[in-house]
Amino acid sequence: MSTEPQDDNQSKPEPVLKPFFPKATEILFYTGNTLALFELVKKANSSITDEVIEYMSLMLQAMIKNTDVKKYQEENYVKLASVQDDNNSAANNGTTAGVPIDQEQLTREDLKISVKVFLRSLAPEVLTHTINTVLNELKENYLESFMISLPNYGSQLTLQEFMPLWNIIEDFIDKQKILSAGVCDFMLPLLSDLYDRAKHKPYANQINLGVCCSIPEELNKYVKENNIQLLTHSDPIDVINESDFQQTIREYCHEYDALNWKPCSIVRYTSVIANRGIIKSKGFFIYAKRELRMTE
Amino acid sequence: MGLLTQGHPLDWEETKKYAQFIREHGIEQFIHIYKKLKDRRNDCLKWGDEVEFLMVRFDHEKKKVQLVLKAHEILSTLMEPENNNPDDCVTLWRPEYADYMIEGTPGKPYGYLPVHFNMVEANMRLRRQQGQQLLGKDEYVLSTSNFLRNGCPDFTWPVYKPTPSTSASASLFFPDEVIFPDHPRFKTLTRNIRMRRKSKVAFHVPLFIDKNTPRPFIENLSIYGHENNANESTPIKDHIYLDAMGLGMGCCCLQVTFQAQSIDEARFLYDQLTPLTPIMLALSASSPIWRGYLADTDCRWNILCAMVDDRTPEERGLEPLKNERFRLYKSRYSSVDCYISPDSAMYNDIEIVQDGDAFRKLIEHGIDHLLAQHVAHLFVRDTVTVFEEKLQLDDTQDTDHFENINSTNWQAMRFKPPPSNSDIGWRVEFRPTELQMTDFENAALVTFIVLLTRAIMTYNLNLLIPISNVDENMQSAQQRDAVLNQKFHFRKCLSTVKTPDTPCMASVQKTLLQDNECEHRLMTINEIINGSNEFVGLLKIIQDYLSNIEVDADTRCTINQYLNLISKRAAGTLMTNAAWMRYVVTNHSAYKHDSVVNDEITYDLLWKMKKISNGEEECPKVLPRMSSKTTLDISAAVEKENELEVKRSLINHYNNQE
Repeated sequence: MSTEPQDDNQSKPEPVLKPFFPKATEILFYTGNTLALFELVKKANSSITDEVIEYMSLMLQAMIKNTDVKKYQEENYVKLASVQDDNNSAANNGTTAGVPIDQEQLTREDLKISVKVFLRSLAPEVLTHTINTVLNELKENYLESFMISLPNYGSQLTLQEFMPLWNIIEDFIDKQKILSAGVCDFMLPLLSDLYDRAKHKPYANQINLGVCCSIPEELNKYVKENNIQLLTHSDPIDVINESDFQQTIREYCHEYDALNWKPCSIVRYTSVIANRGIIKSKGFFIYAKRELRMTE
Repeated sequence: MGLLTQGHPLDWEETKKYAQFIREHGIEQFIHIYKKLKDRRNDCLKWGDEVEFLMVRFDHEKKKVQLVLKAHEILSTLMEPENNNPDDCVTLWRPEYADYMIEGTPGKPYGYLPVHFNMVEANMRLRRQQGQQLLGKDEYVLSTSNFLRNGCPDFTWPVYKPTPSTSASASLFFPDEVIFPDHPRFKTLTRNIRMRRKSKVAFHVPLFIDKNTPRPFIENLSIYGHENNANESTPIKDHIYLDAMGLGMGCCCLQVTFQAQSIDEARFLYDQLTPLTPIMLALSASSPIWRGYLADTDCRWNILCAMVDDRTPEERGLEPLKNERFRLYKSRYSSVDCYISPDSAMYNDIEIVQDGDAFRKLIEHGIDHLLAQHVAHLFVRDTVTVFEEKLQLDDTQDTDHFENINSTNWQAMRFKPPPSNSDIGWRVEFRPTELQMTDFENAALVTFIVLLTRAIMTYNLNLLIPISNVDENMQSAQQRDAVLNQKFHFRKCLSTVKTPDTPCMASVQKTLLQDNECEHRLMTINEIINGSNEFVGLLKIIQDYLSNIEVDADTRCTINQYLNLISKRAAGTLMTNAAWMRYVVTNHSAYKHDSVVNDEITYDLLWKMKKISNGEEECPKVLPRMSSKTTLDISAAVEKENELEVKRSLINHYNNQE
């Protein structure tokens, strides 16, 4: 079956006759440093959802254009990596070109890496896999800040459900792979329950920008008494759902390539020059799984 | 503030003789500083604001308000903490041109922590309070660009009469006693500028013509002792006549200074901020009234350019060049004349008058063309103050001669080399912004510009447009209600494709546009700030940047308030200070629609401003209702940052040992 082009702002490729990754049950999109692609005249109000969809699209198009059609045929785990071409090594290294300053390479000590994971599955192995993937792909020994967000479970999340995930994070802290970790959108009593039970206390709770000027008094009091930073985010409840994820793939690939995918975790990472407030790199990981019916 | 060397200034005849001496040694000193410190790297991105306050005295019985000449009385008290404990003050104070002005800065510059943005307003408020505490009954610290009746009869307390035949300024309106008395610099500058120029400074502010304004409007200045002789300039019809350095330098402004990581970064920032100078001028407009008359312009900038203009008639092009070296197109107070980074050369499209010898010497010593040109341009100016104690200097150690000229070139941006014997880095000063009546607004403008620079550096943006277009924008920005009515040249596409080499950059940028398509077009302030279908908008860029750094909730709340103010003002749903002042005047019962802003109106307007700045009264036309979460107490955030730093250094130590 051929794909239906939905917009024609690029020259549309010929209809896709065969699926690119028919055996894939895991897929990872890793954007690399997206600051190199910062296009300001585009979407005026892009949310993280728009960004994620846009980068997925760019990577799928790059895959179709640049890859031998056979490459992923047998793969169970498909990894699509960054969008820049290799000539743009300055961007990959996270050094700032274009600004005629600072010809020295930055060292790891100059940077502060922050990671936020939007987890769409409570399965502990998903979180473990995600953190390991981030460490491996970024080629980093440690991350300064790690925030975990569970959008779908929000206010109904219980400590029972959350503790196994926090324990995984605590392991990484013990191994000094994560230096500080925090949570997102936690209200009382969940925040205080976690604080009481945790071996490594959350260093921060990230709340939505919309409420930053009207924080409930008791939450404010609690965080000040217990030395938890209240940070802010403007991320939606759910970054990308099954339907949008599959739809994005379907637009560029065979219908079968898009089938059944469930995004499990979305990661946004940034690295900031530690004492200058200048962002060096920013990127995303989008990890999804699916079950395939056995072919007859 | 300028260079506050202590000592005895020479008179003009003596000073004149040192023009070439100062020039040569100033260049020498710059070369030494450049060579010694061009590779200096500073870890931190530091910045700070400077606020100049006015002091006024209300006479509630007579309904009159006057500028109170108290700076000389209270400055020593204000400066005590610094004198006792220079490394640990929360605020720093300096004198300024007039005895009714005090200038304050934060005690330590702000840095890279987002939480610093939450301190700016609280520190400004503290400065206001510190000044206020030292004033007497009915005396108040106010923050606004220009005292409405500056130069009107009895405009100060104590009252002084101008003495045009003997005073330093020879002004009909501005007595010498108003000039800050405890430092010789200001009076000396006043006199020497006039002597060099060979006439009084003069400016004619376009008058706002209202329905009962006499037509034509020509002031009868004989009541001020004006004589119709060759040395006096005559007033022009339908304009407000100004004739004293104090009527310009007695204005208060808001400045931001950045310390860059390196000289290259400082040059980059200087260039990128230059196209923003007219935009900030328009957004901050707060000077619609001069010498008690409503003007047709909203800003102080052109007035200031004229009030320290030391150019002779030949230099101004009024007479053919005979004794002077150059025809100079602008006053030494002016908009930026040239960009200074090598990559920006193509945007320098106006003639830059330079001292040829200075230029050659700089090039010989390895300074590149753009920077040499900038310095050689500054050095076309003659010195206008020389202190006898500071003549013979060691050019390898001191920088006074360089600063003599650098600090008496007042441009919308200033590039500042490190002072000798310090570890301060290369800095740029952002100078065009007009002062607002509340700490909230001033903090908002400062925060906006600092965040914008972070975003520019993060995303490698390029805002450059030809300098001639920036100059045009500076004129547009000063028009009445420019925020609503004017259009400004602005770059269309702010992103760059990264490449470090100058030759490549030009051709790469061309490929982003159609052939022959202009890189910039005219936009309203609203479009520049809030964006449109075709332009991203500066606020969107800042929001994008903020979403990628960790900001605590209180700071984010504060920043949001500030950005909301900027957004609404750009959109016209909140008024500029200038528009609001006009509104109050024209709706005042005592206003006769004749462009005259008398004592009673001035009293009422300033009393209102005093209450608004103290939070005693709201001003919904200008300010949003919510207040920020600003505070000086950032200990919690700093503690957290330190905890993280400790962990990081342990890890790095551990890793390095392996």
